[in-house]
Amino acid sequence: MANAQHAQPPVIVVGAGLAGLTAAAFLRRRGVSVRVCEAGHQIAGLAATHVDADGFSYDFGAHFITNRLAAAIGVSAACRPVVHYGEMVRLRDRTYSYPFGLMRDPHFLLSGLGARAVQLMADAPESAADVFRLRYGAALANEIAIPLLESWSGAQATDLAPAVAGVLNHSVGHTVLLKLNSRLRGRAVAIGYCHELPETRYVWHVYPVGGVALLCKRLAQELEGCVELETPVDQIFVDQGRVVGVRANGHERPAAAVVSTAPVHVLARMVTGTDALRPMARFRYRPMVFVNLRFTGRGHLPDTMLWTPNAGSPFFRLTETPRSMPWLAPAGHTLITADLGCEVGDPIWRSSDEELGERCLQHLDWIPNVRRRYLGCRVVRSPVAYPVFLREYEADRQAFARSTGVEGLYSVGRNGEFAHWLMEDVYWRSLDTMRRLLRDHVALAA
Amino acid sequence: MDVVQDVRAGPPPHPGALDAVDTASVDGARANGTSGLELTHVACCVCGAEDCTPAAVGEDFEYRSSADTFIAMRCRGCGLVYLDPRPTPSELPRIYPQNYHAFDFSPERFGFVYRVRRALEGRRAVQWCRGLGDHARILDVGCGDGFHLRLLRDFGRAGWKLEGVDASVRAVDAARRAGLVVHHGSVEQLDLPPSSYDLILLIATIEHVDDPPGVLRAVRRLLRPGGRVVIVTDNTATLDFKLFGGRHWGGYHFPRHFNLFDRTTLQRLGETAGLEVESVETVVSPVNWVYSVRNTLVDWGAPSWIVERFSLRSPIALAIFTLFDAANQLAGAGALLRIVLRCPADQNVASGAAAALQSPRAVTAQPSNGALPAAL
Repeated sequence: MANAQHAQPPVIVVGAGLAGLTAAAFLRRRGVSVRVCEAGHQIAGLAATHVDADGFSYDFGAHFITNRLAAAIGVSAACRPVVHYGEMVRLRDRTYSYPFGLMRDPHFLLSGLGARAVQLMADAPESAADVFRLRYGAALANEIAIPLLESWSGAQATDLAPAVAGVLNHSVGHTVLLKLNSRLRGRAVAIGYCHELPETRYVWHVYPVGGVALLCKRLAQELEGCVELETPVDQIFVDQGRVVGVRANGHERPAAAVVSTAPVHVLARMVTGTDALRPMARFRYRPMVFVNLRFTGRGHLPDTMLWTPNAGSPFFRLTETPRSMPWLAPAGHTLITADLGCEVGDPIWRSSDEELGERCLQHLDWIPNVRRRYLGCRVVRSPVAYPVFLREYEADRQAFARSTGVEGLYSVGRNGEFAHWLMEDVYWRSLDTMRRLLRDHVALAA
Repeated sequence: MDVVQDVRAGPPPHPGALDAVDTASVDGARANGTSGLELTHVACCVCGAEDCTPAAVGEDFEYRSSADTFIAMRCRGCGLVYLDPRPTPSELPRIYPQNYHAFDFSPERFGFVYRVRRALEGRRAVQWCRGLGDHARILDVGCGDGFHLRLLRDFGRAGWKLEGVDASVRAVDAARRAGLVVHHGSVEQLDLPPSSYDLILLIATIEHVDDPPGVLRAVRRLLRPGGRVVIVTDNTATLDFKLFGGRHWGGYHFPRHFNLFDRTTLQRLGETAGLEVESVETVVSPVNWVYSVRNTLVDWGAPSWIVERFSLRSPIALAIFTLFDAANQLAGAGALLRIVLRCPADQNVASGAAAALQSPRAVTAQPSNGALPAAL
């Protein structure tokens, strides 16, 4: 058995973020020889947390994990429960709680009920815009859902595939029940944070002491000696439709299979010896700039997350994470993250931190004494923050969601799957993909 | 009527256990004993698949032995419910604390409930022994403080040779003080005489062990040809599981019940070890009901005077839920399962069959220090 294992080249996992480490740890438990190649000098990818000298914590966007994910990985004892989480919408200087508060406005309510009435007779939606109008009614779709989608994706809602809108996780009744439980329990019950598994009243948000990277550190413990840092993989060799190896740090290595977490358009360029992934080179990701504004005081937003579909605002969403996770900012201080959609190299992308902070402040003048409270900002730029489901490549996207089209090549993770998965989805889906890998390569399992 | 089968009576949960994590750093939590347990991942022990989906997210509501949240998985292959990840063997002293009920189920501590349970369990125990000769040799695996062995000594025949096995020093000491012959260790590792026992009992034991197929294979080696094994364990195909299975079900006993069965998986487990199934039936027990309610109350922070109405020291709750479970029993879904397995008379055939059956292995190699949990 040992000889057979040595003769078999390892499965190479490209990227040591949550998805890559989950996949590698699963394979290792099954006795599969595995190597993780990480281009950066540390693990954790998008799950990394930076803590500055003043005690503010910055994640790559706001991260919400659940007690179920923490338990599955085995870090639950080091997690703190999140007591409250809520979303609101700010529209024309009024704030509405999301989703039910919007129904207080008769305009939205009537249009929403009207849409429900005609839903069954309507034609199949052709774009995301159609889906939103059918689901929420024209008023809510045109004033809130579509403007948000457009600033988030950088594309016209009519050019986006219906799949963007996803499938609603819960019925109204179930959502009310979960919200009620959340209130009674004093736990932020997760609503809309996992698509892979049912969300129940026993699944709530938690946050690991020291940051979300703890999940990755725990997984990496199982992978001692298998993770190679500063080892970029720039080519994946395919021969006769099958993965045979990679080039890492300039050296070619054989591989029994390759599990990639790279953005799909990057993966398409890495693969040589097949045209199967060529259509994926067109897939677009929306770059995003996250401006983390530091303030004195706390509770400047009406709730943890505030959607801002107002035309003219540079950001479409504000998140005051310390409202849910007080430990992310020092006492008496807070952090508001503004999400700005952009393109790499455009004026927003190129702006200095100070310029971006100033731009956001101009649109936050409804917060009392906002300038007096402002303590500066720290900006995180992501060239591949969100996948953009354009209709022009929707058929290719759906094909890719089923398989990479190359034997022995698997793509996992938020970037690797080209899908808007959240952390728990990434975990369970990566496991499922690895089960598929083992079924496809029965000889690999010891 | 069959009544109390499993016994749990922890102290009221330590309310500070979780709060500590809210405020303290990880190191601080470690210092006050609420740190996380060392955990390891496993595959399904019945079918070997590692294709599972979460069934429950829960905590140690009874003893608060750690600050962990636990996840019970359901195997998509065979339906077994199992704890994954689960504490490593080195953590057993922590998850079975000094005040663990099975180490001391005494009349002093449990009074009226002890007397009722003794009378009813005594009848059950004699039933298991039906057909045994005057000089039968009986082994109780996971005997705890020797409760069932004492029953057999008091209600059984004078010539029976009674022995127990338990991994807990405390339980073994208690049993020996009662004048019982008890071996300290695990049945897989102890050097007990092969092919020499007529009856082996695993009463509320199989759900605690890390490798049930391994334990049953060891048990089969010890049985005489034609000898029998009686296993009693929690049943997952019940109404209480359906109602409380998402978090508070008493049968989870987080994190001490590693594997939980229904008829099908329990039968399959027996067959995997090369044993023949003689009968499988369900048994009435109020315990999982009482503890499901108790865990719910504890989780919701109910005042302790209400919580304490639901424990093994509350005869009223036990009586009510016994009647309740008796109704379920009529529908064939009592709270516990009892399977009787027989060692094939032709050992050669049996060994061949067992050898042909690949034992599903634990995914992570675990150090075997002989510290199998063998509590009641």
